[in-house]
Amino acid sequence: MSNIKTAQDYSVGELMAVAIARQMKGHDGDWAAVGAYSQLPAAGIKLARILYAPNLWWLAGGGGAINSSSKLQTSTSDHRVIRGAEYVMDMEDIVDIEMWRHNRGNEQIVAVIGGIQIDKRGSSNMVCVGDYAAPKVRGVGTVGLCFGVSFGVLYFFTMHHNRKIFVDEVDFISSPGHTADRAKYVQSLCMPPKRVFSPLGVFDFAPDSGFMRIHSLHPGVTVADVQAATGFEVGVPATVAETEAPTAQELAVLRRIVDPDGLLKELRITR
Amino acid sequence: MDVIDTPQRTPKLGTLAQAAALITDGSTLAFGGVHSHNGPMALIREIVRRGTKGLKLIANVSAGMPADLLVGAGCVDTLTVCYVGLEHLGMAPRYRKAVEEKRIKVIDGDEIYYVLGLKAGALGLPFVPYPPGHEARDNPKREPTYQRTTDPYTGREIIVSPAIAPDVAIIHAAKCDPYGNVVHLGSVVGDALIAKASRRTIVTTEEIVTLESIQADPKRTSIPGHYIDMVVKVPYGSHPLSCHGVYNHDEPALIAYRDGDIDAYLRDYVFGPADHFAYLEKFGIERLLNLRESI
Repeated sequence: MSNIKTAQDYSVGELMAVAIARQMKGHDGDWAAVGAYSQLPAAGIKLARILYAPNLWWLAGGGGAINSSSKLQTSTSDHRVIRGAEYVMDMEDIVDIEMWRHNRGNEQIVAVIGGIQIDKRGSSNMVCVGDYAAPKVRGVGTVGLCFGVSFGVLYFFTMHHNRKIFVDEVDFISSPGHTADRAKYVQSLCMPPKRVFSPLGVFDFAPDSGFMRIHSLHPGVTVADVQAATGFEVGVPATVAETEAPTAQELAVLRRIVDPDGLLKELRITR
Repeated sequence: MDVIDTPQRTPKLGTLAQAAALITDGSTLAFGGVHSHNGPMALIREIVRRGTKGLKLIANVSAGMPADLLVGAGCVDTLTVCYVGLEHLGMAPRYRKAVEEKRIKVIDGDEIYYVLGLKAGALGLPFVPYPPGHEARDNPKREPTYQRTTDPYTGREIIVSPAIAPDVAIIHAAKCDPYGNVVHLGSVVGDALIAKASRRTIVTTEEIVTLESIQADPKRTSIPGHYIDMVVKVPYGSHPLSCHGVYNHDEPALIAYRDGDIDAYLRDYVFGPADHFAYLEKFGIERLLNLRESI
């Protein structure tokens, strides 16, 4: 898998950031949140605010900076993220937004988050691998994924695509995907996961089964590659689209304004 | 005698040793900051040096080295977790090992459990009621400190989690006056919240500023002094974490902590140095000053 070549002149990280930015086209006027270790969604949102969604509000989780226009930083709670922000939320402010039950007009609260496991229904786990009572790996904790039942729109991103992350069923549900419990308990205004951005492609969920399927594959990636790296059967559409490569404009803005230090190129992304 | 001779306001200045003595064995302790930023590290090292045991530690909303070090040093009995990890530097190794080996008890909270639990603690509310929807995730099912009760207004069963009211909160901020008026030069995160929720709050600070400088720009005050019980001047008091607005985190030092042996770390950086300045001397003036970056 490691020898897959995308086009020569952009990294997988840059491609993923651009894919997330394009997804944000539909969120102009909405409110997006990212958490820790989130250079990919932070870059995508920053790029989108410049090119596609100038009215998109965004929260750099942890530090609480709102609408930061600083260059990309490794830690979203680094004080340098505050440069070029419009407000700095404290934890109470952040929870006020993340538990917000009403949308004014059509405004959505959008989250781009991750997990140590993501399963075929889009449930995400941050707590343990193996039995909860005797874990093989103790994870960091559910943290902001508890808002998976209150955010309006959920996107996931991963920096690795392998069978340890993409599992048939998560060992602990930090944020429920397309599950029976979600259908039973969570109000419909808070939608189940819509897309997963991985180093191999972009995925969505079949409306009937709620199971993850291919939306587009990144250049050079095959269905067999995805299947080999995924712990469940991934749905394959009749025609498999290719993730569109970044445009010259997207790459120029990404490299010169959003990420002049080239952090996206150095990210440890595996597939 | 002056005709307007008036009583003087009492400063709250103390030392690291006096501050650490307020955190007794078995205390419920909350600490401020987030990730690799604004942790009261010098005070945490002092707590470890004292040999404090059995702490009920309320890890901050996204805790890294402060929680990991206290766990690794054997000071913690019960850890309330929202997030404990090293962000882009990976898992917090001593926390992970201690939980996997069942050497500490974990309370598996999350952002709501932590933030609204502290809010309830600050206000004396008995518990936190959850809106519908949280039945669909596992924390309320698997963590026994979540309970169910009946909403008397709707008759519906709802999820609740406990109020959190720590015995002591410890925070680190860029500036503070002798009366406890705190100035953050960056993110406040949960620092004001834990100060309100805790019976006692200690602030360590880079710089003691005058009351007059606080009065010159009162809107800059991030936590009013009445929540603060002790103020300790500790320059570079959050190293190797950052102090927002003053210096960046020391990433090589964090990586060395992550990858090194915990006993060697405790010997070299906690028990070895005679005091905080001896700790700083291990890194040197050049390295410390080069971390400085204002915002």
